[in-house]
Amino acid sequence: MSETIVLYVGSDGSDGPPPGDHLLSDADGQVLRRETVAAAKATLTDRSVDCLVTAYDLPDGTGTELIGHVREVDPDTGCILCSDASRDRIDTEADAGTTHVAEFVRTDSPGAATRVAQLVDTTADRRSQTAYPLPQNEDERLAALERHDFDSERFLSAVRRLTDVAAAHFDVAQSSVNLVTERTQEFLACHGESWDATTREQSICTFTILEDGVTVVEDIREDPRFADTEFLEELGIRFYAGASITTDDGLPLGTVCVYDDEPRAFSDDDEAFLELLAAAAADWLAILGELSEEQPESRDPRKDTDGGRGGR
Amino acid sequence: MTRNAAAQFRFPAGLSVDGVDPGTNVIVGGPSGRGAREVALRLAMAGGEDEGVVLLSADVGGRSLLDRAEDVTGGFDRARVGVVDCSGIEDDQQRFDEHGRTIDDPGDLLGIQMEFSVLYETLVERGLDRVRVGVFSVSSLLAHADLRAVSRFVHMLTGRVIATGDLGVFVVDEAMQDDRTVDAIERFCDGAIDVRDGTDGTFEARVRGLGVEPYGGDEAEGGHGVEAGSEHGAGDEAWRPVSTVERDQQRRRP
Repeated sequence: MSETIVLYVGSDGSDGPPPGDHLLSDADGQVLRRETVAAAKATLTDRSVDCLVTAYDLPDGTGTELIGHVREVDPDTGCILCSDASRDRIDTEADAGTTHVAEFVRTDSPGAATRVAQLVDTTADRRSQTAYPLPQNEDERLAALERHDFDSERFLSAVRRLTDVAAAHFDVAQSSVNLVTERTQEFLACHGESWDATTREQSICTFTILEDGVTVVEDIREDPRFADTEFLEELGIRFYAGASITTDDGLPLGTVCVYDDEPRAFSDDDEAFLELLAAAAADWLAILGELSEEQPESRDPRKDTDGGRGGR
Repeated sequence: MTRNAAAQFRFPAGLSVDGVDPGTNVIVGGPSGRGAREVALRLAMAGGEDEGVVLLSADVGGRSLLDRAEDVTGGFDRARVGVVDCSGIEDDQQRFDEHGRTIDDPGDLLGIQMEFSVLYETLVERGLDRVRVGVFSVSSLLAHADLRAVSRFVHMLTGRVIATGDLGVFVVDEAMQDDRTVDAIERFCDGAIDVRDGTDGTFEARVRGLGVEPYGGDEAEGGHGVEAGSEHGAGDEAWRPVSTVERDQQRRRP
């Protein structure tokens, strides 16, 4: 996997995190040092990081303000707030309506430096601040994603046809074939409207790839996992059914989905048909994989398809 | 400080597991919410003198939770137990100073984490080798914050437990939660203990994951994250009465 990248915001000697040199046990990791909220935000505009370590008091704002920003622009990023300030002084509800969740290390405790390094390691390696569960084979799954060239025009034509077949069969206006990358859901092909990528925590497919078989959400407003999902509301999605596109070795890379703007039922036969379409997509993936092995210069799909935010 | 990293965390009597490795997270739920809380409390308090305990108390005030802990254990050394009282209960009688921190808003998850972290370091600085973390309960947190925020919080805590080689115990009251919510939370944990009502006010428990040989011939799940909705040991033979001997034989301290 790629090296760990930590964004360290604060200055040595402040009440903030321990010196950046000690943040990483991984010699191959990289620490990006910034001293202000503005500089940190600028960095986050350009790239994703694995972990944000920030002081509370910053020259142009606070660490909690920065954590709130991270949760908006790249919500899966691990965040660690470091300070010797009391909770009375730290505004833990800096942004009403947004519940901040982050690790905290009090910097005047004797083991602070060790604890921060420990938490950086785990937070980055295990991505333990995502708001959704990860598949048990997530690392292998992401590695498999990197082995395929999803820009292949033949592959894209094939999956576009699958979305057409799905829409016609289920009599819906919208269907899609998707990839679930490290941090985003990408729409490889859409029947109906073209949709832009979304974060994984706004994606139903991120739950679909956890399960064998088909995931059906007959009425999204009745499902507590998705009822308040802004992305789904904006698109007017009320019904969802998705089947995983799984490699021969059992790694779910994406999904074939159908959607409706009204709640509806989905029969066993419907599920079987959707699984057939997902199996067809998986067959195409297998062919792609064989072709990629013959073409070692194949590209990293996450760099190409997610606008620079899904991967690094 | 040298931490006792290799030894297993011992489980209380009556469960089909003697102990688990450091860095393990367990969800305790099932049809009986009251039973789940009791079993989880016994699990959180089952450590020896070298183990600290940090309890997040969102269901009831911190002092009430400690009283219950006294009931189920027959007494314990208060110096090794810390409580983050995030119940939001405005009762001065519930406030206490020793190893107790209060949060007025149960939905203030960053505030809870800050107080948790401070208590945790206090216990470690006192020389306690490792810590059992108990969340009572995830359901109460969900009553005050949305599922996404609580999921992130639980995931973060399970990650910390792994990082520090501790034991995480998370209570979910299934009567308060949709099955899909329970499944989502359960996936952050390595195994599950289901608790149901037995006869004569007793409880029965079954363990899923955590190396328990399943009934019915399937292999137990390995790796991180119990398979949500898995029915390993789903038959009646998987359920065991939770021993109340320990509790009955002990007397609550005056």
